[in-house]
Amino acid sequence: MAVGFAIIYNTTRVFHLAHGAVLTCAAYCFYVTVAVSGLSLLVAVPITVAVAAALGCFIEFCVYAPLRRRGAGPAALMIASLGLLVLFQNLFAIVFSTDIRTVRSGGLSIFQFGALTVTSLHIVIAIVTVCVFAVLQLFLTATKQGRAIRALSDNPQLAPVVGIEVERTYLLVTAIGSGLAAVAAILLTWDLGVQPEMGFLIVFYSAVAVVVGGAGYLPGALLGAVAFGLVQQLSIWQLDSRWQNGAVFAVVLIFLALRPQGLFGSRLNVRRA
Amino acid sequence: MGYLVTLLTIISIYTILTASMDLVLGYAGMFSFVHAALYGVGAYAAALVVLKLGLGLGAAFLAALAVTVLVSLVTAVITVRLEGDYFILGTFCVANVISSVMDNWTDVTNGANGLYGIPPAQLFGWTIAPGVPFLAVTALSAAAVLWLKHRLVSAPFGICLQAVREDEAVASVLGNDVRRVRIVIFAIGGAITAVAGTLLAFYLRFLDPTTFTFAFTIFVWAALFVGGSVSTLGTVVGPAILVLFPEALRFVGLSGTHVANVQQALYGLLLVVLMMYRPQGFFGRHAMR
Repeated sequence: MAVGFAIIYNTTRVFHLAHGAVLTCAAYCFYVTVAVSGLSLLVAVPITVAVAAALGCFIEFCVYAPLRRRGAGPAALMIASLGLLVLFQNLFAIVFSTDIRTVRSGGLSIFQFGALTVTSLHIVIAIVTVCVFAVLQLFLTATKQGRAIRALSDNPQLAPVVGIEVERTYLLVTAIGSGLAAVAAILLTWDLGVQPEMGFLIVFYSAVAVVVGGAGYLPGALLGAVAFGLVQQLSIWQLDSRWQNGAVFAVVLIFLALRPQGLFGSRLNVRRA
Repeated sequence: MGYLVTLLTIISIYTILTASMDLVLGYAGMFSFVHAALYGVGAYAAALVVLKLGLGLGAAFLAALAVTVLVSLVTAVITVRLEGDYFILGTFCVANVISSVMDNWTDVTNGANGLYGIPPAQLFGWTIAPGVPFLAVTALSAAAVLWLKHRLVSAPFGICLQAVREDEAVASVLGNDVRRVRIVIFAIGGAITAVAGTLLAFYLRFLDPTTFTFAFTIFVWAALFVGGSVSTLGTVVGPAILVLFPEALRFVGLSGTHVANVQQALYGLLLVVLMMYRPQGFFGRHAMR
């Protein structure tokens, strides 16, 4: 999820809060295809990814692109994005009610690695994350479209000069990012179930991961997410669990104040952001 | 009649908050995600002074003022170096920390149960009755805040603020200490939320920590964007629209469990449409870019 947010954010410079809406939409889509229609995973997963990508493109095409054409800047785009997030979140609440819906029933098999206890699902999540990330990195470095995305993200003024179609690349980026959100949504739904507000917090968690990892550097988002998760878990170990949220954000705040460029970002990106 | 008084009281309190947000976001261009939390800090401080020390409105307000200014100064000093989206994230973190304290510092804030049993407002030994008298106090406070805001932005400092928003580099070349300007306006914004927080504590006479989460900051943003930033009229009209619009829905006969969701969905839609067709809001003089 964080990587999906990062790729869109780095390239389009939109603080894409509606990414949370895409995530929630994908989660509900997965819920409907699996738990309600009873389709197999092989059918449900591609449908979910396709729906998320389509919604992402729809938002990009119908809201962001016209806004950019009217000369809107990051603030206006962010507000519009926020509006979309609120809109979708409440539409889902109306349709599906605010209860948590779950896909899975029964427990998961549990493995012991010494002192570490993990469920089979968490192993799957780790493997999928690494695979998706490897494929993405390959795509960005080895293909023409991938290079176009990176060029646009590095220098939006210069990219069109060398023949990169800006709007189309934005669309492509949104599709990829939304597809990634769908993958995250599927894993989350499988693990915890789905509810309308899930998108809001998760989009902020991913934004935090991106910033901690360092904007403009994609592996940073992955490591940022890992670091964020670690702090979250470690805080439970030391403190009462009810303080978890506060402790995590206090740590992030101190981190932001001391090293705003993130773990791996450069100073340059902070100034430009 | 009682219904109308209720609506007007709420609109007045929200107007004060929107005015604060207009100074911080509209004039100084700082997207504060912490406003709802500051408002909560003010409300809690006021309520605690009344509940634990048994003092009146004046003392409660002074306490709320002191605490919110302190919290917003600390917030500003930490986050002021961050720019744009990073500032939003920084203030988001502060808001989370404050919410966490409200929820968990049970000895003082009574945790998730909130504070209740706040007595009616007392001012110089007189009790301000709920209803019309309280509305008068609230409306007068709102008017005072708007007047102060108008004075502030008409002064050279207001122009300085807008210079900082438009181009930080130019503003600092012209001899403004950008950091200091930002910290000062953030503290002033915080002080104004204390006014709203105190009034809320005495109005509801009950505080619930879930009132002061992000959803409410987003509401204040929406009120500001709808009314229009960098304007006095906008800061009154925006909250009025956002409060009255859902009430109108109620008269249309929309009912049941979905009312809140329909309202919020409409706020969201309104924001998107506004950004596309009228980025300055209804009465704003500064288009969001």
